[in-house]
Amino acid sequence: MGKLMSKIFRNKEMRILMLGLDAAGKTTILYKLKLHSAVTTIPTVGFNVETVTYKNVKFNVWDVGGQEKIRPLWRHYYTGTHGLIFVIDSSDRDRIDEARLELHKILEDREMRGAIVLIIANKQDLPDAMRPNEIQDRLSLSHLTDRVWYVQPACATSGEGLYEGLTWLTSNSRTGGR
Amino acid sequence: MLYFEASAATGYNVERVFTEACQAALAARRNRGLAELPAAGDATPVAFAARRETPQPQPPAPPARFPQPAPELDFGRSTEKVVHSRNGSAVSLQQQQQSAAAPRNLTATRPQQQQAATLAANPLPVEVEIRTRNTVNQAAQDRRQPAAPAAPPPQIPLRDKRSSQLHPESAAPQSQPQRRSHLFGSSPDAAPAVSVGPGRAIPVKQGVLAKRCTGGISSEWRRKFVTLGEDGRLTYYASLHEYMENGRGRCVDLGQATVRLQDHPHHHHKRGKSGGSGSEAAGFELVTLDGRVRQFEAPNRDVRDAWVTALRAATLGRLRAGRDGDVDGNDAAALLDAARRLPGNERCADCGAPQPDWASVSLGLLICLRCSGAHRQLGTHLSRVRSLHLDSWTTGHALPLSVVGNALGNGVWEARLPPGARPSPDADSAEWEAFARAKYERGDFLPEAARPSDLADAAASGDTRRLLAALARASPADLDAVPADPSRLPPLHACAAAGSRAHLQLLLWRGASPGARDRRGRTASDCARAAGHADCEKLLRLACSS
Repeated sequence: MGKLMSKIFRNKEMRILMLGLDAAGKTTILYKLKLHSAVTTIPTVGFNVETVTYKNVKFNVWDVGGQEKIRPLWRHYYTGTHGLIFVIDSSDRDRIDEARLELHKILEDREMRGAIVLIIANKQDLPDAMRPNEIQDRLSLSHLTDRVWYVQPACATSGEGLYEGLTWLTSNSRTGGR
Repeated sequence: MLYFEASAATGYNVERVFTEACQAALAARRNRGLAELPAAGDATPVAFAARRETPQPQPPAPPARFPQPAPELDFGRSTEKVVHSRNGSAVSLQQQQQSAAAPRNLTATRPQQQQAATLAANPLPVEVEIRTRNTVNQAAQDRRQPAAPAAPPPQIPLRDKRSSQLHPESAAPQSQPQRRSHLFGSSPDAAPAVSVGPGRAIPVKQGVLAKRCTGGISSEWRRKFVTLGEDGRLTYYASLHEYMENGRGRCVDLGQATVRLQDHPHHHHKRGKSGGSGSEAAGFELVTLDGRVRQFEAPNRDVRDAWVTALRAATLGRLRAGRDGDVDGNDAAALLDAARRLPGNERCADCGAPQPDWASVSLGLLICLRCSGAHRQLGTHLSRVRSLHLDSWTTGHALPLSVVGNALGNGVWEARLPPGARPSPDADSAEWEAFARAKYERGDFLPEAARPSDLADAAASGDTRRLLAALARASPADLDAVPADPSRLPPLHACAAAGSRAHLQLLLWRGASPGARDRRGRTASDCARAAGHADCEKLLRLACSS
């Protein structure tokens, strides 16, 4: 009952879907937020889901594997998503086009109409990483009309940029309430 | 093959199991017209218990990768049914009804039938049999448990319409009711079901677990009979009885679920009659797409870990869904096949785990799941990881894998590996990451002769080993270095002129600039065109455009 009360009256809750190409750093971000430490992850076969509470907002974060055969399953996770976190490996220039295609495919789905989009430009610590401006161009984000989006540079292993991203999500979420 | 299976693991429907077994046995005899046999006498629980006293041929259990006890196999040669009863409380029996067609279907794999015959004559060399089966089953790589002999002995009279064969279960303690009943279900000679009544696939894994849902109205722990099917679905029933009755179980598709470990067991639920294992209980939870969390609890950590391993394997199996990777045409598939056969590729290039199914394409090595995690930490400029099963493959990705391989690659990366530098196999992932950084990032174990200045000559020579050694320590400047002597080509140009596409790809992944020009103003693409290597030219053109 106490849980129910806090659900209604205090905490805001957001369903967050975290997607991106394989090895972008999704799971590392999830566990950095959850455990506050950088863990050596293994490729996600399937998905991970954890609840992270930050500034009175409860984030249910779904982190789905990015391997090619798993990507067609992403759509099963769309329903009810308030915010999409799309993670980019900023040092992987070879696959930024692949990432652009995947991102636009997700956003075309009806189920994702209401979701706000946070792009995490991860691995900013690596040599020759693309900066947020370049990522914005390479992902053709300016073509996204009627969509709230933001590019947040980050480094998952150190945690830089992650909480700024969460803050952006809370302050731009339209589906407030519960 | 048709069978019906009973396992009175918890001992609460012993009578029922016996009754059904007796009926089946009687039916078998009636069909054979062996009226003179005192069938009913044989079928009493007393006789079952007594049967246990008679020594049965008990070949060694198959080598188990899981810690739970492997079932002992009994071929029941002299008698058609063997039932194993412990203290009158735990009875575990498996009844297998087999149509006469089933043994004949074995002839589809004649060598195996011969083996089965040998086996029946001498049940001891089971290990030989197991190994053969494993080779046969190589295709089904996601099987996580060793195959085991399943062929019924040819001595079973084939004229029977049904011959019943009861298998005793291992002497597993009551708290560990896991069984290997897929022994039969997954063996290659398991004939398809024929028209003798209803049947169903034997689960990969089954047993009794405590279960509850969180967040629901009822969050009480209840004991459930849980089965994991070969189709990657976990089904749980209110009881074993319910399962046997083909009752309604609840089903979870593991392709859409994830397993999380729970290291803090809940002590406050009723443990029923089996009690006493509460302090060792270990839990895991299953989260599905709809956000439901089902908590399960096993009697101890070993049983829990076996379940978790099996469930994760089932998830992988569901996600792989049939064919391995989408391979673009036959080229990539053939290249991957060639790569799998390269020396050293039967084990992970870093930790030595068998049957690695991940790859570092930019290093040309096969690695295991855990080590692929370490490789991903290095960054794509050092290692590009792909899954053999969960990714699609192009010729470009597969080519370097087919020319390098673990033996050749480690000949370079581990040329001066000091004894004891490799972590032990059970070391944690952080240690393996540190090892990967020493090996690939710092190049601690590279041979003395690994000189980036040799790169242009190595590229021209077409010698993969020499190229890897020169490439290992090369900086971006080395990769694009233009030799002072105008007759010598820069590395990328040399590869293009030689037409070695695999080497070209390795240089590009390492960071060579595809548009760089040599002293005469030519790009590598020009060199490839001049030498008539269209595939190299195309690769370079693609690299330039991205």
